[in-house]
Amino acid sequence: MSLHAPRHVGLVAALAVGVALSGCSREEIRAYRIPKEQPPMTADAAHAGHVHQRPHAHYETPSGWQEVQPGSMHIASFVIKSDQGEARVTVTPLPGAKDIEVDAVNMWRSELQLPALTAEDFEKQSQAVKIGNAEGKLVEFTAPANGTNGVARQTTGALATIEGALWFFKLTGDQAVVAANKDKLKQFLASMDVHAGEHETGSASGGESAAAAPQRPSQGPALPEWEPPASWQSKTPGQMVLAAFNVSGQEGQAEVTITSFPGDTGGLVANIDRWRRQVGLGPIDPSDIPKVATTVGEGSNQFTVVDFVGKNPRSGKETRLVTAIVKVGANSWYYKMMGDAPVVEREKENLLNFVKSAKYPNAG
Amino acid sequence: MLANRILDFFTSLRLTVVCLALALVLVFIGTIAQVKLGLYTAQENYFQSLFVYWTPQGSNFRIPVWPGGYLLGWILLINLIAAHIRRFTFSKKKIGIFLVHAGLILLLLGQFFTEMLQVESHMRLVEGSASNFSEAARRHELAIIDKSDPNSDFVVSIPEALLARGGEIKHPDLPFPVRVHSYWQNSEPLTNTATLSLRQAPPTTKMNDKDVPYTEVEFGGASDKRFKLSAWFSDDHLSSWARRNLEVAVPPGFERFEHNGKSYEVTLRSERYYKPHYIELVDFTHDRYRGTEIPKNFSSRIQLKNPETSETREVLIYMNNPLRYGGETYYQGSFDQFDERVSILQVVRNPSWLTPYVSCILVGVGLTVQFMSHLVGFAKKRKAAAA
Repeated sequence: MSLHAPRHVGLVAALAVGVALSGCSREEIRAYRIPKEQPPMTADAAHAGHVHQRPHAHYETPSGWQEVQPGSMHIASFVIKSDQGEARVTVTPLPGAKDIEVDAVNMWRSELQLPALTAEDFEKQSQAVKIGNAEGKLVEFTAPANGTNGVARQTTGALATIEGALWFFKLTGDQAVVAANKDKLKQFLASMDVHAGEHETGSASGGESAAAAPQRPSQGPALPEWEPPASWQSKTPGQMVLAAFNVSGQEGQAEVTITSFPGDTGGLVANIDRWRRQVGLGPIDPSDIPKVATTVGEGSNQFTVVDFVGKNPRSGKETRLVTAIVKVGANSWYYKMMGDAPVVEREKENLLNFVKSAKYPNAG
Repeated sequence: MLANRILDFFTSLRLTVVCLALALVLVFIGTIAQVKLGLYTAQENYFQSLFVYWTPQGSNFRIPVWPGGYLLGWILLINLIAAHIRRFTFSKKKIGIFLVHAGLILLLLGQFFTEMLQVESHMRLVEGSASNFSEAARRHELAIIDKSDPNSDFVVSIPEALLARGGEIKHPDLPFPVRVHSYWQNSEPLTNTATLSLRQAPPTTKMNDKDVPYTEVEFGGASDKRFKLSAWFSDDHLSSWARRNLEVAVPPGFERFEHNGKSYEVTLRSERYYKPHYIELVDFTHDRYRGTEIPKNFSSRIQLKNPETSETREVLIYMNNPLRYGGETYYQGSFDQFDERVSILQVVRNPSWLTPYVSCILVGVGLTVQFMSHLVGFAKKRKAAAA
């Protein structure tokens, strides 16, 4: 077979068209019809006309506050924007929580890089405030402008125990905006009508809104069968804590607490960041997570162990935190040991054996 | 004669050698360029293009400085076919060579069609949830959704590349023009804000990173409002990350507006590919190597539901055991590092997926036939000589 020019120029031309086509992109507008998608649930739709079974609140939203989708721990969230900057308001209930007011306020202070308050300082600095029909405490503190944004920041917050839940109302952001909205916060608090549980509501109307908390069990789950080390001393657990132990020795002391929550309470990063704050550390760089979080065990007996060292914000002593996170069904169990670094170093193996010994009643 | 000179050019062995040398250099400079541009941009600029362009600093000119992968591939293909037709004389002895060349031509064409027609996307599923669409990993779209029909939604999808050109975009299915006021290929969150605010960021060059675009658009005659849209707001994974790590409120992933009595939603999101069937994730399991975060085994037990055919069946997808359905292949792709209930399936539509297999068979058979014919001939000669 031989190639005759006129006959095969067409073939070469066809291939040349292919070359040209290679340069064409596939960027064109598409139009198509799809089955109806369910609209994303809005805050209004979520709360209108149904029976609230969880902590929730009714309130009047002050002018200039824009309600936004709340985070997993909040029942309501607002954004305030003005020429002077921005601020954010969050409403958070913690059912059953007690005696953690000072810790909570210190968590707010740590967000502004301010030192922790003692219980005595907290009492001195807090003012009485009306939260609906209840009496609450109002605190405020300002952090000077830091190098990154050059704007002073302020938090004005209130907290009160109402119907068995500890409620937090936090206004935080640029100092000028927070100061300008302090009176509105007080009006917002005065309009507050909070409920711990079930009652029938109608649609939100007339400027009044309602919001409900993420569901939490009203009572803690049944404790597993476990074998705590003989050297650990059992102690009365606080609210939200299912069991607690003291571990002490010549090198110092540490505490073991066991808690359980539905879901993953915001995920590994959020938990690590929260625990890091407790030992005076900033948020973790996600690329460093493999350095502090490892997986222990095999198959269904796997659990995650988080381990890092910081400092006790009050005493300045080196403090180590080791937490084992065990997924059991839809719940996450947290076995946290925190205390003087040498004690935690010595007891870490005991903690892991203790976690491995646990037999959960509903684990199947 | 001009035609003969053209044919001489396209059938010359010199052209083959020059193209291979140019391709060699292209592979080298394209590989080096990945350091600065990242894998995907370098692939696009050097290998998935007709020319490699150079833009002088401060100008908008694109000056072609080197042949790109597509151009070299096509010239080699034309060269191979033309030379084959011109010089090849079909005979029983050369049937092996013929098959080898046919296999090579099919391989080159198959690769071209794969480049042109293959669509890769992923489907993110949480245990207990179902989905009828997959999303592109790196491509985004401005989706304008007419929600007025009670039974279905009408979607007009404008690819990101058209937004990047700016100006006004018109389409027969859109009753209003889209005016693009700004477009950033990549954006990143500002820190210390109460609401997630973004700033322009340079395009990413990291392998495991992706650009997150932002745009400001207005719909002429439909709404005077400028809509500020970003995949930071519409992507569940990104918005959750921002809420969790930056402790900011995130604007809604879509905006609504009315026009001529119809209600519309608009969003900037990962490009979606809808399917007639649904996939529900029943169970997702994955093991890691002991003491590490390195994944060992993944598997997704899914329920496949097709309302059009009333088909419902359970399928286990795991490594090297994909589901092939509706012209697509569903591979177990990945998982969410922070949520162990989430499985990510890689979805590949490639109409020419069979061509490499057929090419390899043709080349294999061709080589076998060619070698065997030589071997048999050699054996016969040897036998004859011995006799």
